[in-house]
This record gives sequence, C-alpha cells and structure tokens, in this order.
Amino acid sequence: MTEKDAIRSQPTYSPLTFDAKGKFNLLIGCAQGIDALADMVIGAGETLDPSNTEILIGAGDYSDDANIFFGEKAYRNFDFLCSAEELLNAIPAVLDRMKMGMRLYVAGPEQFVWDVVAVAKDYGLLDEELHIEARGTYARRVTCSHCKANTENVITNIVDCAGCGLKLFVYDHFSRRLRAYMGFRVDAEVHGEFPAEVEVFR
Amino acid sequence: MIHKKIIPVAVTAIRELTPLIKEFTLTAQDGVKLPPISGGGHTVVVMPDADKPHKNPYSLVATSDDQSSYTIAVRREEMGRGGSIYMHDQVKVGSELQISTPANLFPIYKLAKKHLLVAGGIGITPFMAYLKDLPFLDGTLELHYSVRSLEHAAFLDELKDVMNDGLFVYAGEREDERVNLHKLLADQPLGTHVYVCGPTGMVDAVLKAAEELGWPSGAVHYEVFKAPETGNPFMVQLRESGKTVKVGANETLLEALENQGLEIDYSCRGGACGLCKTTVLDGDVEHRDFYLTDEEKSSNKLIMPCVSRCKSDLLALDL
Repeated sequence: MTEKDAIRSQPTYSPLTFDAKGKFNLLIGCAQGIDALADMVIGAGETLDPSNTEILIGAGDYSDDANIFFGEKAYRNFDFLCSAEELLNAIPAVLDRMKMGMRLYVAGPEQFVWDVVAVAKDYGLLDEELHIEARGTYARRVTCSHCKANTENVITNIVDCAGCGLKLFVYDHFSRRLRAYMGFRVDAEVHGEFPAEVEVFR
Repeated sequence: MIHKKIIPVAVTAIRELTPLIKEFTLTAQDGVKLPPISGGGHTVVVMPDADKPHKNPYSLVATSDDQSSYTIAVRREEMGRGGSIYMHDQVKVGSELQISTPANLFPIYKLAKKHLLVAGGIGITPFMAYLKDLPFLDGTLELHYSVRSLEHAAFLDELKDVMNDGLFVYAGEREDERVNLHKLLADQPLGTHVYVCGPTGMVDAVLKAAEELGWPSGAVHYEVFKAPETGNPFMVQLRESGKTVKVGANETLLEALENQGLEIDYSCRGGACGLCKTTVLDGDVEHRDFYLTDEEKSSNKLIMPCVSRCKSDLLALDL
C-alpha cells in the first residue's frame, strides 16, 4: 500500500522511546509487547529510574533479555499476571494511586494496546502522557457497520459478523472511540458474490 | 479580516469590591442581547471619551440571565497607562462605553477529571465565570486564591457561597501562609488540569513547577494578558501606504497605527492571541509578546504591535 492509499485513521506505530520529562513511569506489556518494553528500558539506560517505575506485564513468557531488565532491578512495583484480561482488570487500581507527572507506556497486541488506551483516556490522560507500540498479533476487533456488534480476533479479510451473521469485509478504517476496525457487508453490490477469504492480519 | 464587532453599552451599576477593585455592569443599549460567554472569556472595553481612547481587555465575570449585560472587575493600576484609572475615577453609572464581542483565550478543558484553579489578586475574575460553567462535584474542583490581605480579596463572599470544600484562601505575608505551588502540583490525581491567572511571578511559578513535576503541557492553562508597558519612542515607516508614524513613549505601536486610521485586527491587546501579527521589513524588534515562537522572534520578521516595540530608531512595516 502506498502512502497515498493509506487510510488516515489506521494507526501507525514506532518503537517506544523513553520520555525523561515524566517523574513516574508505568509500563504495561502483554505477550510480545513485553519485549518492546525491554527494548525501551535498554534504550533509556540510566535516564529511567527504577524506583519511580512500576511494571505490569503478563500473558506470555518473557524472553531472557526481558528477564534481565525486568527481573533484576529494584522497581517500585512489579506484577506479572496470566492473561490480557487480568492485566486490563488490574490497571484501574494502579492508575487510581498515580499522580500527575506520570508517563504510561503500553506495548502488546494491537487490540490490547487500544483497550489500555481506552482505560487511560477514562482517567483523562492526554496523548502527551501516553506512549504506545503494537507488537504481537494484529488480529482485529471488527465493528459491524450494520448491527454494531463486535467480532473479536479477526485475522481474515472477510469474517462472519458475530452479531448479525452477515459476511463482512474488514476495512482499514479504525475508530479510536470504538477501539475497532470497521466491517461492512462484503456482497453489498451483488448479493451472494463473495471474494476468497484469506488470512491477512497476523 | 476584521471579525470584531463593537457593541455600545452603558454602565448600569458600579460596586466597590475592595479598596482597589470595582465591578462594573455593562448593559447593551436598545435592548440588544449580548453574545453568550464561556468561562475565561474576555472583552475589550473602549473608553471613547477619555483624553486618549483606551482599549483595555477585561475578563468577563458574569452575564445576566437575560443576556442584556456583562459584569467586569477592574483593578486600579496606579502604574498603568491610565485606562483603569479612567474606569475608576471618570466612569459613573450612566457613562457610555463600547465593548468588543467576547473572545476566549483561556477556556475550560471540559474533559479534565479535576480542575485546579490558581488565582492571584485580580486574577480571580476569569474564574468567577468558570465557577458557573463547572459542576460542583466533590474532589473535582479546587480554587486556590492568593491575596495581599483579606481586605483585598474580591468576591470572597460569593466564593464561599458557591464552593463547598474546594476553596483555599491565602492571605498571609509569611512564607508558610502562602500557597506552595510545587507541593500543590506534586500531589494531583491523573487527569487534573491546572489553570492560573495572576501576577506574572505566579504564572511563571506554576509553569515552572508543572514542568519540573512532569505535567504534560496540555494540562497547564494560563492567562497571559499583559498590560502594554511604556518604552522609548520610535518612528514607524509604513512601506505599503507610504506613511511615517511616531510611536510615543506612553503609546503602543498598535494604538499609533489605529490613530492613523489603519484597521488592524486584534483581540487581547496583551500579546497573547496573535491576531494583530504584522510583517516587519526593517528595524530591530523588541519582542514583549507571548505568542510568537522563539524562532519567529529571532527571525525579526514579525511583530505583535499591541505590546512589542522597536529597539532601533526606525521600524519598517509591510502596511
């Protein structure tokens, strides 16, 4: 896809970089996102103060590299949880005791990252306070533009809507409000005419 | 484009709030309805009958329920250029003035989870309008109000009436009686926005503390109107119209241009809004505004004529 064809709402990501202006850091990583956090910690070096940093990771074994950087330093808090869902549930309690001056770093599968962003926005975080990187599966949450139901973990270009059952074309338009890509009836022009279903989002 | 409308008003009430602050009720003539205001909005008051036509920006304190009048509060500035003295000494009930349509350079960020208002002295005025726009939910609104002494605290009774727990007044001289801005900003929950209006020293202290504590710049709001200060006189060459204009020591460049009949768009007349930005062709600009970036200032190609002046004897403008 060329630059010109790109859908402007589709998020783009770059590797996390540490923002030394923050006084406290909260690092949240899910599955392969844990490696993304480790990369950032390595890059930050001495500028990242472990005693002002809390880490909340889970849903995957982390690599030896990550182990070195997360396991051996005296972070103010370090929690390892078993699933993305447990991670998401643990976040509000942490944000409740955080103060202005915090920077939040989130890495993991795209769907997870935007779920965390939604929680952060509920707490009034501005984009300046929020650093994100998608790493891991790009499986999509798809909102049906006809029945509004969400279909989770979509990896194919065409999917059966979990709500109304229509075959949906999974489009690149991404809604930050709904945290989902848009899907619309694939055979809207000629009913019953379906292109081949292929895996595209890994 | 000049998008300003001048509205004729009459003074219908004057209230002495403190020994130095008077509140004026400005009522539109002929039953005209005034535009609605939002917390933080201001208007420019034009004093046409003064010996020189002052145009001073004032925060809007309130609007009447029927939209027929606004109230403003004016502090008497002995060291100012005369506008506030004129308001205090010459303006009476029945006096006729003009005001500009309101603009707002200091709006409330409605998505904030908590609003932390920091006022110093006459800097309380925009917050009086804020309080009408903000919901009074416990823990989501605090006003920290510093004054020289309680005698100088305008609107104190009104504030006590409308605010529950969130009002903190600092009226002491001692260090431990004054607001500790660093401590205040160090202990705020996520989603807090701070708004400061007061003397330059107080605004600077909030900006400094916020930066040191890692606050994102988007959560820090400040009103930076600054009364234009006097300076050395200089000559201005208007290359487009071929005129040469003298700017006196006690006059701003914008006023001198207006006296020549030039219509220059403006809103704040305090170096904040950017509307009067003018292209410089020659001369050494003395920047006194808050609007231009450091890069723009050092390029010496732009000037905000409402506050800025010229260090050299001659300034050439593209007008």
